[in-house]
Amino acid sequence: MTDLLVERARRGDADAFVALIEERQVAMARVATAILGNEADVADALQETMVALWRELPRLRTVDRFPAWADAILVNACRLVLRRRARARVRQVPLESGPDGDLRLPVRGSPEAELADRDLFDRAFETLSVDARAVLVLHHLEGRSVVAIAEALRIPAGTVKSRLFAARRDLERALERERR
Amino acid sequence: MTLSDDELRAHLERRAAATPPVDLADPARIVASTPRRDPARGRLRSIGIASAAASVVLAIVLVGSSVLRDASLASPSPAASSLAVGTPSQTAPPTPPPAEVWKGLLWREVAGAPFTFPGDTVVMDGIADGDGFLVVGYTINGNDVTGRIWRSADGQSWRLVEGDWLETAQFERVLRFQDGYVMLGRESGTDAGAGDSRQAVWWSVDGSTWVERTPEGSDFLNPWSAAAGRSGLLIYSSDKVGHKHWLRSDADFRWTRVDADWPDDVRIFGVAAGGAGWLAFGATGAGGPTTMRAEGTQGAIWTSSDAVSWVAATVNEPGGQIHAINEVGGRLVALGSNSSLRCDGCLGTIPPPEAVVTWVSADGQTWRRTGQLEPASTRLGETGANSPQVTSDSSRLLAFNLATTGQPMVRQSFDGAIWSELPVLDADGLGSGGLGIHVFPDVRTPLILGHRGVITFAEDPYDADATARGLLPQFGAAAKFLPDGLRPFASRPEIIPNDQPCPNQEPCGP
Repeated sequence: MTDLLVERARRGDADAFVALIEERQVAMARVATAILGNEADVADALQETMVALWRELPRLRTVDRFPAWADAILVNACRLVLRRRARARVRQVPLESGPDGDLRLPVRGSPEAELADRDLFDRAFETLSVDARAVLVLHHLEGRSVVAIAEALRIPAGTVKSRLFAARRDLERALERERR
Repeated sequence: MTLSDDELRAHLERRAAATPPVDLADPARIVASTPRRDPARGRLRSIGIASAAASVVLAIVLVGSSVLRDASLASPSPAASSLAVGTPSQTAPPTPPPAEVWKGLLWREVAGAPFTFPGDTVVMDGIADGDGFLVVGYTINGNDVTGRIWRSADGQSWRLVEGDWLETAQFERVLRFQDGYVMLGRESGTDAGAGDSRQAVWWSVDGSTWVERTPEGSDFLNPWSAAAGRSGLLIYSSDKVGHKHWLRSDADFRWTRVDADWPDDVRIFGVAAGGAGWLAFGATGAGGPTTMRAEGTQGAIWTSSDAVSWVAATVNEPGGQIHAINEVGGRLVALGSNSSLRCDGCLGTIPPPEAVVTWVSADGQTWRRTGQLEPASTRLGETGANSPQVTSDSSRLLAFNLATTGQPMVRQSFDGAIWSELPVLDADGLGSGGLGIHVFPDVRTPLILGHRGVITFAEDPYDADATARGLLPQFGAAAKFLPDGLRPFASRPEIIPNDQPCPNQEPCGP
């Protein structure tokens, strides 16, 4: 059914394209959110992706490549959004003020500590390149195989493996830096 | 610092869980405003650029600054769209561009059209087709039935689709389906007089060449209603022994039959595409042909994604029955009445003119009553032309009826709640004498709303001696501005009722 929709959309059937996007929109939003982490950026990336999918679909030669091709366009859209929005982001570490006015670090295991832990991860994750984020999200969140990621990103499977390894290592180093 | 796979996945799941509403990007709007790249030449098609530019200009002219955000999507560059849809605050359901406001209808008779044949010809259904129409029906001449398909690019010039296969067909419904059309009707084989006709389904990509796609082995007899949508094609029908069922088809006409085991008091009047997939509508609390129920019926709507499991929707102030559901302006609009279906199938019941009640829903599951369109008169006997007859497309509803003055009354709405009157101007100088047959005949034929106006078909005045009778197509062309020199139709001469005794209780003459 998806192949049929892709073929119809490729030939210019707007309804088929709408149906196709509705089928994939939730999954695309999920991947974009995990990579970008910012609602406005996600919205822009989805917008970019859909415009590109509609415009470029006639050039897709084999309809069964559509899922991987769509992934590639989505990752590319995330890259474009981040590049365009090279802006400084201010994030607040949740610290409490004590009764005497001095700052207290959150107690380990408390909701505040959990929040700080999440924020720590997000800051570390967002130091990674979009390509590094994409391989981590596609593999660890979406459960895509190395071969599927290679097809989506149009890179050799060996490169995917090395990117996965490097991304994981860079993330752990960034976490160390953020924790200090 | 090491990070386990589980920790990594948990953090990524948490990030993904913050996914914003996924209707931030409206694919339909993107399609409408984004020209495609030509795969052969690697450049934009000039027609695409022109249409996109025209869309932008039109949008700006029509609706002003509120649509400027949409217009910015028309940029051929993906990189330019970051200013458009995508702000966190835009979480409302996507709405299509506003419809063009019509200022009036310029009513004229379409001359020289191929609508006259030996025997009796009827128009059963039609749809907008580009800027024109595709209309279907049939001619009955003795024992022969011939299917008719008419097409028009503008509502004023018509041509008849021809083919030998039409000589045994009879068309009753036409729908848009996927990137083509579907017709429902009957196929009588070589001997129509033998009474062995069967129900049939035809499919066409271009509206001129048709292929039969009837479900194999099906004995469906009466297609009560049909709808086409993204989930496929759905027909509500009954078989030869009266068992109701759904016939569901995917895009490749792979059919599935599902029994429709509704409670005895449920009446399904139709099915529409929308919501989770399908919407059935009608009434509950109905009695049989011989049963009068004092408590009457209540309008009801059910939703389903697969035509197997149906869930009753919440209908605020449900009235007595619901007759139709249309998608208008990105929302679902249901049409019905306050009157109870008291006696299903009773003969001889003459209902008074009725108001049209409207409900609106965003998702098909929860319906809010929004309006009531009153008939011009509620006097018993003024039935046919006085009750509003509503036609709609994806952007507007038009309601037609005769006013108490006998003048045609057309009202326009974009949401089913707010209606404004639309002048009907006599573009052909038809005058008041032929108003009943020319504009709003008492015997209603389909009113088909298109992008450029509305088409309907009046029956030719009956002449027992005529060997060929036909239909008089009437086209109401949409006017963006009311031209000078055209006048509204004059009132119809008052009809003297024939149910009053003659003076002095004397026998009346003929």
